Amino acid sequence: MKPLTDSQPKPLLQLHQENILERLIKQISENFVNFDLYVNTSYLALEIAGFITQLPLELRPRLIWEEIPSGSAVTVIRFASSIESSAILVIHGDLVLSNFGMQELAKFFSDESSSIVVAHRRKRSQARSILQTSGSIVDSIMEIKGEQAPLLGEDSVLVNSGIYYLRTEDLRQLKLPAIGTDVSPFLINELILRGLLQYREWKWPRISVDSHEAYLAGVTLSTEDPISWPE
Amino acid sequence: MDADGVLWPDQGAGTILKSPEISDAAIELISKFRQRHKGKVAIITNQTAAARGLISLSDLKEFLHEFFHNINSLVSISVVCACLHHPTASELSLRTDCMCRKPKPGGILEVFRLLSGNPRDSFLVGDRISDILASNESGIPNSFLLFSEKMFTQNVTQNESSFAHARSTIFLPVSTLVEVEIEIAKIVRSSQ
Repeated sequence: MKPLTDSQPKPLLQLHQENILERLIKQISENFVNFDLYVNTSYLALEIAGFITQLPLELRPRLIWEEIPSGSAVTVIRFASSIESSAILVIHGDLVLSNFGMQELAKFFSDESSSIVVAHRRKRSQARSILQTSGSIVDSIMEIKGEQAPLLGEDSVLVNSGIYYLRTEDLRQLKLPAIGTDVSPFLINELILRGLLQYREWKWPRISVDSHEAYLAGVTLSTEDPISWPE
Repeated sequence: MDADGVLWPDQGAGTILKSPEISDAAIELISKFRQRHKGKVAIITNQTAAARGLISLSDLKEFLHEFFHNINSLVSISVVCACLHHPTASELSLRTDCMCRKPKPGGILEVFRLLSGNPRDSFLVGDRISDILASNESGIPNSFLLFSEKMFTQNVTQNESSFAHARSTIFLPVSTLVEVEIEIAKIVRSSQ
């Protein structure tokens, strides 16, 4: 994503009317109830803090700042031990979702009694972070063997969408992993091993801004599907 | 509350020796906090002027005593906890890797001991990430960090061996003390 991300973190990349982070914050605020919002940051944290400080107080998330990035699994498990909420919704800060998609996401989780990983279809040739029949995640098709065949057959497989609904009760059963360990695949696979995780298929537009092409697609999605937010 | 950068603008090491004026916003926040929430206010500050050789230790102690006595005539403060140490102080009697220098939590914990306070019912306002680290470490759930270009400039893990592992520091970034007041009122309301 360089040079776009040399001086600004990816969540602050501008879309149609707002940046990626602002779109997520407003969509979450519009569709979820009774929640506290946190943004985990390390790289270019001053820029993130500066942007957040400009948001009205009712939308402003708290910051989880790490001078040395802990890894998302470490952050989430540690965070779960410090809060009273029954669940944590984790969304990657580079995701651009449609408004309807976020509405559906809120419905997914409104009555959930188990931890969930959200998954979407992707062509086998482009697939990374793949869900196996067991629900556990591997990084590439090559790692899938025997009965652990990928879901959905020859043409497409289900891959991790970077959206997780994790019950704090489940997270508290896990030991803190080594610094630098991420949610996928470590935390997902640990929960699967304990029978604590299910997956839900995501069928709505979702763009992970991990390339220039994806960024342009994100701008297009936000232009065609702008958020309506009172000034 | 931290002092330099919160009660008055931070002008670098030895700011307090310039006898800065406490801001109207700080007076208002403290007054409202005491009146509306029946809270107590403590100042927890690193003051390294003597450690850096800018003033003698005895003069600094005398100065701080008189300075905060004058502040107390404007607004009521229950405790002032000033750490005068520094790990590389030129004044040998102050050269120590103490527990009261933020980001370590000793100063804050001492305030809770003196006031018989509970961290869970407390708030902290700072202008540096070291304030927030100390706050989190003390068990204060709600910390406010005044946004400034300097908020992350302190390398908090450097020379802080016990802090040299990755940790998460949680706070709400704010642009003014008025926002702190609004947010405290909201948190108090929701906990009742």
